[in-house]
Amino acid sequence: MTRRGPSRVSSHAHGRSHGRARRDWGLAAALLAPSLSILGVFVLYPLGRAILLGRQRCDPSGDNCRTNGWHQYVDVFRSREFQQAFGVTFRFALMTVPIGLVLGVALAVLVDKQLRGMGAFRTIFSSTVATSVAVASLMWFFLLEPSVGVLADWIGGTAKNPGLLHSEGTALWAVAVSSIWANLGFTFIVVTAGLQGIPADLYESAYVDGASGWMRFSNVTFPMLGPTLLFASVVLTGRAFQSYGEFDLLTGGGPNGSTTSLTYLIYGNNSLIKNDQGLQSASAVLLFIVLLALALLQIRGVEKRVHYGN
Amino acid sequence: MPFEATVVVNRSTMQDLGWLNSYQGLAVPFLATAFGTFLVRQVFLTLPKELREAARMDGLGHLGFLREVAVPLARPTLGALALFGFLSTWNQYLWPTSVSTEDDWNTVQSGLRALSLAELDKPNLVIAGTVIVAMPIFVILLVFQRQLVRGLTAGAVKG
Amino acid sequence: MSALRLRITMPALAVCLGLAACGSGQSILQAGNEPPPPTTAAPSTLPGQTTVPTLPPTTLPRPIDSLPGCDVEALDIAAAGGPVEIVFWHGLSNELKRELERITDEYNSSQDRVRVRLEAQGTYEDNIDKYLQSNTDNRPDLVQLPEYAVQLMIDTESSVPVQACMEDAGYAAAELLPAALTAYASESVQWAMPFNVSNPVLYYNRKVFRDAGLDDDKPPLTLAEVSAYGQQIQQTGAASYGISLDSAPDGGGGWFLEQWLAKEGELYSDNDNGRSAPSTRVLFDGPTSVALLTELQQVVTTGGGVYVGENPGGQDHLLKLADATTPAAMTISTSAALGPVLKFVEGGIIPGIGVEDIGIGPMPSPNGAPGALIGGASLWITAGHGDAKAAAAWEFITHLVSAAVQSQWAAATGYVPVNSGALALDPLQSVYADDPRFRVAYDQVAQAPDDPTFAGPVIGPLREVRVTAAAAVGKILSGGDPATALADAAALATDLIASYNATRPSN
Repeated sequence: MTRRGPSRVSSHAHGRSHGRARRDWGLAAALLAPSLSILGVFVLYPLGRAILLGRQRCDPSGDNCRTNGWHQYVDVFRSREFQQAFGVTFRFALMTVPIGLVLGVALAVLVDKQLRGMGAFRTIFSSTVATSVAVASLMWFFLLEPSVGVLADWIGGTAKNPGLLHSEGTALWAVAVSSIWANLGFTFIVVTAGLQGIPADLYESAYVDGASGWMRFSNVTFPMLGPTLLFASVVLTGRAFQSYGEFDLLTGGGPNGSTTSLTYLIYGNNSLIKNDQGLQSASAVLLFIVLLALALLQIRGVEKRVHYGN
Repeated sequence: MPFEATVVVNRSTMQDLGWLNSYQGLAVPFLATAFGTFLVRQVFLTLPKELREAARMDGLGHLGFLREVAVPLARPTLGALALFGFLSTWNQYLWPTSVSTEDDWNTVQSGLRALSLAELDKPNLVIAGTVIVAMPIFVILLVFQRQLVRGLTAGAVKG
Repeated sequence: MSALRLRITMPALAVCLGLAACGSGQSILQAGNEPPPPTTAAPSTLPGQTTVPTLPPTTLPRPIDSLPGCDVEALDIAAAGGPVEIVFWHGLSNELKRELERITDEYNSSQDRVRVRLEAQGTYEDNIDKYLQSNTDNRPDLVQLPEYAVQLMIDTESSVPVQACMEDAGYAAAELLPAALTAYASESVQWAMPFNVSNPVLYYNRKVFRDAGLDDDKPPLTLAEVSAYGQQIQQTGAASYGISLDSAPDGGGGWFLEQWLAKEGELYSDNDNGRSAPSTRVLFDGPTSVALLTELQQVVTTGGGVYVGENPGGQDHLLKLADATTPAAMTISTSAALGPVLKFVEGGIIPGIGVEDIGIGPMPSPNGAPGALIGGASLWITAGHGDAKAAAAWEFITHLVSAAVQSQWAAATGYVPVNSGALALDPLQSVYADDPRFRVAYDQVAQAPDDPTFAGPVIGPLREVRVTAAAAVGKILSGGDPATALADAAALATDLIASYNATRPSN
């Protein structure tokens, strides 16, 4: 990171009046004010408020709260319910992110050829971008539901009784499939753009060196995609940890809590803490901290990579 | 910044402002995003200093430079950001459900949830609803494919 | 490449390692609570902090004067200047929603005093959530809430008890179903007006019964009979399964357990189901419950039954009867599903099955005892919206529970009429005469003895308690040990009640 600010100021002529600088500041403040006030009111304030609320236990209408102190965060984090939901969320991310990335890369590489008709495939593979979480979840719901679902009939066995969404062993996978599918368009688009950014001469020199298709992929394509993949993985991880609609529409957190993610523990229909803003806030803040930590780890990954690249 | 972490407090802010069941309630928290600010700043930083000096010679002040030079040059990024914002708000699920108590203020996603709760035994009806909700974005995908790709990949630039 | 993969897996590993070490095994409901002090030091109270409450020994009658009042004449004055508009939040869906809309439209166009605006919030749960999250200004004037929300609503201190309006208007409640009124009364106050009363009944496929050589006019009454019928149905190949069971909180998991315990003459929670004093713990881990759920488990393992899961959409158990490849022959569901189910079957969705093939019987129980708790929902008037709105809400309530409207409502839906006058009016009179299926739920209410077990539990966090009970039933129906599952659930439920009582506004 370079600190250009001061040097730029010193390079300016010093003779400018203070009035002008003040006017500049005034203008900057005026331009920043709308954004800052919105970020302040709807991002910073609620975060601070939630952090304070997390020390309290409240009655259902939220009018009557009792302050317990910071150790409530520790208790919440260590509690059975939080640990289980954390585990579920973590497994969900481990299912959706790597598989989503692999599928996205595979599809993108598959159609990354200047052949006739590839445009159509590109559009088809991109199309799940058009499906929001509610759309994707309801489509998969009607495919997997044993009494009406076509897929349930085809697969049979557990898919039929009690149904993939109703069996403790398969429910999280079933939700993950819906989520992977819904995010595939995004991953595909991002990776396709990444592939187009790889200079063609790299492939040519690899080809001249006699590298096979697979070797060209593993030695040229994959390393060059690094930043793209990291970006996609940061976004997909964030989405996985914040998923709510899938669980709400597909499983309602069940069976036996096997799909009760952190967000569902906080806001879901069968949540035990939904009527206690204190516990809700403590869990939400912990979710925020986890996401922050993951993002920092991933960004550090990016920086290291850039360093290695030098 | 996970918005999911602050839904409880934000909903009560909306209530205090009297913004439940309103466009303000649905939209205002998303009018400014750190991501958008960062993205546009990145573009502005790439503008050569000479451009600014030239504009000053022509008598353009800060606002004039912004209007006549910087924003037009950032137009591709702004278009991408607009599409990105459209997509992500269109797809919001938890927030619209939280700040509306009237059917008239259901967005497509919370409306789809309401439809699925009310008519779960009529798959044809619910699936028709999902298709209707998916269609506009699908059309956007066909028409603005390039901008959409830019919008979705904009974040990768910073990597 | 491997460096990249490492970047992704390292944080994963770090957190997983952390996880294994840091679980406390405690419930989240214990969070923030101080561990019990080792010595009996005098409890110190910090400013702004409440101590653990000591609940009053008995629930005294609450003087009606201490609660928000009702002035029904305020409507006469306000309506002179045009109709008073009230907002009514409900949690009905499907045919039930459409019938409520029809009744409301008819009401709106029949008079010029009150305009009712219906707002569907989705489920009862959404209704409760939105109501609790909202402040007075954002609450509706009238709200429909289920039987499990009674104590929760009382504690929000946000309602005009309908009793205030009944007294002010000199309303004669003599025609209203006493059991339904009792369900929404406590501390000698009638808090809300029962509107849609339902209870669980047995749905069965008459054609499958006939194919299996069973008498389709004699549905099973005991769980033993359910098992025997199920075995016969499977052995004859008439259907793949006997009964389909679910474990939804508002169905087979939570609500039915309350029903079954009442039928067994057992209380659900201490202090007479919370009616003589606030409940402090649940009683559903006793020997009767263990025996009951052991028998229910056997219905699945050896009685030809099938467990369809937690049933988040509330229809999986019914849809199992319409399954094209592996159908069940029976299920237990709310009587309110009768209208929608008949509409569904009428659409020809199950080949070869007509509406006349759907049989309805009383809810089977271990000993076949008759009677049922009051389920469904009631109407609550919001306080703080002015006398005119409250009076308008009251006037609409009297319309909804009138004999004429209840007659139409019960005939279209399968709900039990809360007004006995409805029985002598068409359409219900002829429906009950021509189609005894609609009468089963009504008879179950009529047969219930008048004692605390049949008044149902009033517990603040009853919804959450139901969720824990439902989780236990789900475990048991998937093969878990009944005693362990019930004991775990009861411990958690008792935590819920303690947490709730600790933040009660009255303390």
